[in-house]
Amino acid sequence: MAIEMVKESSHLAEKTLASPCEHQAAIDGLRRSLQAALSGKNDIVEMVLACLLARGHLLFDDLPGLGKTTLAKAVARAVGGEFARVQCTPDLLPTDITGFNMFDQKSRAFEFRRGPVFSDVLLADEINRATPRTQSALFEAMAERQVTLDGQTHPLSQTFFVIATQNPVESHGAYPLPEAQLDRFAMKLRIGYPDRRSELEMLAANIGVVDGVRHEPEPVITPVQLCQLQEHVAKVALSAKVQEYLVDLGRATREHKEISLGLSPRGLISWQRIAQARAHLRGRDFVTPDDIQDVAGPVLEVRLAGDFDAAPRLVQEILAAVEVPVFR
Amino acid sequence: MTAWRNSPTPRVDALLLVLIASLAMTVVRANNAWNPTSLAVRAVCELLVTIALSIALCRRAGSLAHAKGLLAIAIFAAIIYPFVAELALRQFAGGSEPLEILMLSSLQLMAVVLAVFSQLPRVASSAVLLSSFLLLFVTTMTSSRIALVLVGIYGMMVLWWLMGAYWDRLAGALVATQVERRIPVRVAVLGGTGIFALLLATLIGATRVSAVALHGFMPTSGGTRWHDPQARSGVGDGDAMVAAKYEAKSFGPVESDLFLESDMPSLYDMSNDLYGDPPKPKRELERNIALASENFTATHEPMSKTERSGREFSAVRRRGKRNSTTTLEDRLAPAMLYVVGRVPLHLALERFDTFDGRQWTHSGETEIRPPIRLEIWYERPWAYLMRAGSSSIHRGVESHAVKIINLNTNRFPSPPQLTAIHVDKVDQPDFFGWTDDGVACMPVRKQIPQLTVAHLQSQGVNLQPLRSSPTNNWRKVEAVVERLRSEFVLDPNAPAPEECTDVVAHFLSTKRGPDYLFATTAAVMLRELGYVTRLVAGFYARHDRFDHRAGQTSVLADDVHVWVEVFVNGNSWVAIEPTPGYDAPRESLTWRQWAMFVLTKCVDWCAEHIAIVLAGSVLVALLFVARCVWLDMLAGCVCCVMGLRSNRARLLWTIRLLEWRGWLAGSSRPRRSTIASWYAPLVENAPPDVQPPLAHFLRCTDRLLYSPAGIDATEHSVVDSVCRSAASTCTRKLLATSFCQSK
Repeated sequence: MAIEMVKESSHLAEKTLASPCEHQAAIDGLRRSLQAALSGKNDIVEMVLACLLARGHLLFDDLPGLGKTTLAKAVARAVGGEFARVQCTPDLLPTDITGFNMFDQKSRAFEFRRGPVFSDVLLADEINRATPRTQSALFEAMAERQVTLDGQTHPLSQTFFVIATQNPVESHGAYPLPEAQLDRFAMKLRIGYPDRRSELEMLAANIGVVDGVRHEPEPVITPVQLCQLQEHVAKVALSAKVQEYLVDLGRATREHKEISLGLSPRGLISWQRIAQARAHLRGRDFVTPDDIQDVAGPVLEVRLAGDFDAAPRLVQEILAAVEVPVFR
Repeated sequence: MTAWRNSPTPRVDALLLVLIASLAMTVVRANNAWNPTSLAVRAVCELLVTIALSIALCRRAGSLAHAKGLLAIAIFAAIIYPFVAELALRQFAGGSEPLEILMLSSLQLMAVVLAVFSQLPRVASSAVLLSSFLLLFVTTMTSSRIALVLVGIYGMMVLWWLMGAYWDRLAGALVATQVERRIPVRVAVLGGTGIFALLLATLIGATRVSAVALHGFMPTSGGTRWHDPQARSGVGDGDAMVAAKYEAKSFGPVESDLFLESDMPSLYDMSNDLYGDPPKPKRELERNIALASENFTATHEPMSKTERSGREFSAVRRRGKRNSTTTLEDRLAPAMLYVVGRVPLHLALERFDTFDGRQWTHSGETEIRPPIRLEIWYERPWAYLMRAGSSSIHRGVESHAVKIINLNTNRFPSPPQLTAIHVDKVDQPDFFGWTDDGVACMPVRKQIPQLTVAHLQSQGVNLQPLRSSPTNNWRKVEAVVERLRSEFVLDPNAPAPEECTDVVAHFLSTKRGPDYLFATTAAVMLRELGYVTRLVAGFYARHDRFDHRAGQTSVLADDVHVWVEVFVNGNSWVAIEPTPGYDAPRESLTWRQWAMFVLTKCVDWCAEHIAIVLAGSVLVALLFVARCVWLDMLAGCVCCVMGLRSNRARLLWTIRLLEWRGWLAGSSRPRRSTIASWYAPLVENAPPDVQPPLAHFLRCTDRLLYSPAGIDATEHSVVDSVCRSAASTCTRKLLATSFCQSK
């Protein structure tokens, strides 16, 4: 068990974003700092940003050493909140995540010790190695944004953002996440190997640095500003025909022969929100079918139970099954 | 249950059931029509086109809501199509189908449309329901064997279908755990009450209009002083008469179980024991057929007589209400007889075999013929005169009906190769016989009574064996006929002079004359060549006298005609037509001959109109080669005009233009691709100076299509320029190259 908590004392003034220009500047700042942390993976950075702005949780399904932790840390620092990291193992207990009540000998009373969920960004590494009991404790926190212990409810941070990782090749001693739990994540991403040029750059940057290059970006926005951005994203407009398109896509997942469990209404709502975030990231105040199609892969892959390798093909089949609304 | 409901294709079972019902309906229509082949072809074409159209619509329908709207439109079209088509046919081609057939056609097309849309929930069962109704009506309207066999097949299949539907329901109920009530009680109760009230109002006669409407809803051919020429059946007078079953009001050339008193000489002798009132003596006593007394109806009113005759009707008979106040007027026709069946037709009445240079006579020699057999065929007595297929030139059978009106002879006007005769109720073989000159007749009577309908069966003739046989040099006969037809002129006003002793020589020198001179010359010339010939006088039923409405051809006194018959193969006489202006007796061709005939006709026509054909093909080729260019221009014009209305329309029609050009260039946008993503490569491939307006155009389009707010004021100001640059930049070439590269 390794729990690490970083308390970030924000030096940014708690100012709010007033004009659209400031909105755009905040988003650009976030984008730049994440791109610096994960070079050569701009599309992944866009998805992470969309997930963050849509107030969804993120699941990385990838091999070790591809930069998952780096990215998660960069997100936490850029948002300027508290960062916590939990390395999941089979002996991790629910209270290790949520916190626990400890009897204080001096005050003769129980005192609540807050766990790592009381942070702004939580990185749950190798989440499929934790026992289902611990997993579900985390999922309650993710869904309800609160922790209930001994009848007492403790609210979490408003911008609570979970980045979980799981390792697809290690199946021994792993507790795969059930489909119902996977629904709590907004999207699943695979970072994949960087391209040749980026790898060369990385090697070059490490020459002469004893401890390896560490990106410690400065905070770009405050949690309050992030909240504002999230509120703004929620207001991005969808016309009726785009919503119909989204619903048709959802129904297509349920009617597809190879998919045993189609998209839930919660999944559909989450897809809409992420498409809104995507549209906002592109500087639009309305969603087009392009936004929906762009985020379809990460959104659907986390929810379509079935073969891991077949998921991208299934997503393409579903997109092909529904006609894009143009003139109707 | 859900599995089939969501399937994108129509259900095969419903489609099959509806198709069977439609076939039965087509049989009824064909039975009712005078030209069954063309009608059957038309009906089958209609069916296929309906199915093809509906499937095409269905494919395009995509989502369920869209499909429902299309279904409504398609049903509406199916309902009105038969009536519109009938109106057009009546106007231009003299079509004729009665109202009830049209209504059934509507029902049929509606069922087909429903079957095609049967992937929608509950539509399949509606289609099957409609088809079973259709079949119910069909069974009441026909006694055709084919239709009955179809009904049998349908019955078995629908039983199987019902079982399947039942199990589907059960399975659905088990899965759903809760059975919803399917019967729409409220609608059923309201609708039922409404219909009942309507019926009650009509029956009580709440309004005079409704009573009249009910009385005249199904058009009948009379009895009410008005007749509809398209009617399938009717009472009283009219073109289409039904044979009366219980109460007859007029005479007509139809076959009926009922016989009326009349002074006219009759084939049927009535003996009325019931009233003791003997029938009035005939003017001359002739042999008659005895009938049972229950077939006789006594009337004490002047009977009207209809000489205009039309179709007869089959077994559909109904008891009509006797309307004693109307006395129907006689409707007289100038025709000698009516012919039902294929025309032109040569009908022989007299034959002559001896010629002395001026006069044709008959030598009195009679051929040896087999005895006339009388056989009952489908409960009707047929007199067989000749064995069918006795000669190698015989091929196929033709049927005609001859309705004798003003012909005063006991001979049957007979087509060539007559094999059998049927006159209703005449079931004694000695009523039929031959005259000395080889014409079928009623030897026991002086004349065949007026209004007799004689059904004649004859052999079709195919002369190919004669042409190919070395012994029978038929080419010579054809050469003689061809020469007469091409080099001589038909002139009824140029008879041979009275003092002429050799009319053939006279005719050969003047090269003009009436038809009997042509026939005489042909007969004599062929005799010179060694053929046995004889002259035939009779009627020529012209095809231009065909009456579409009545479905029959009138033969008038003017249609008397003379032609020649040649004896071939030692057993048959073949009619030939030497007179120009008259069609030769038609051969029954084999399929191959028929195809060759059509081909030669086409080639001949093309050879005659070579300039038109050449110009036409060049034009078509040019249009085809340059199809992209002119289609593109056409689309450009349409988009220009349509875009004039507003900025919104301008944007929409410009994007439509791009789509259309993409289609022409062979790279149309796939249905899953969005406008922005599909046309993005276009921006990259465009010249640098138009890239910004193109990108702007795509942004505007996105906003127009997907933003609830629509395009804003700043975009309004640039719509015109960006659309113009998009339309002028995105040519077919650019579209093709960009998409080739992106692929």
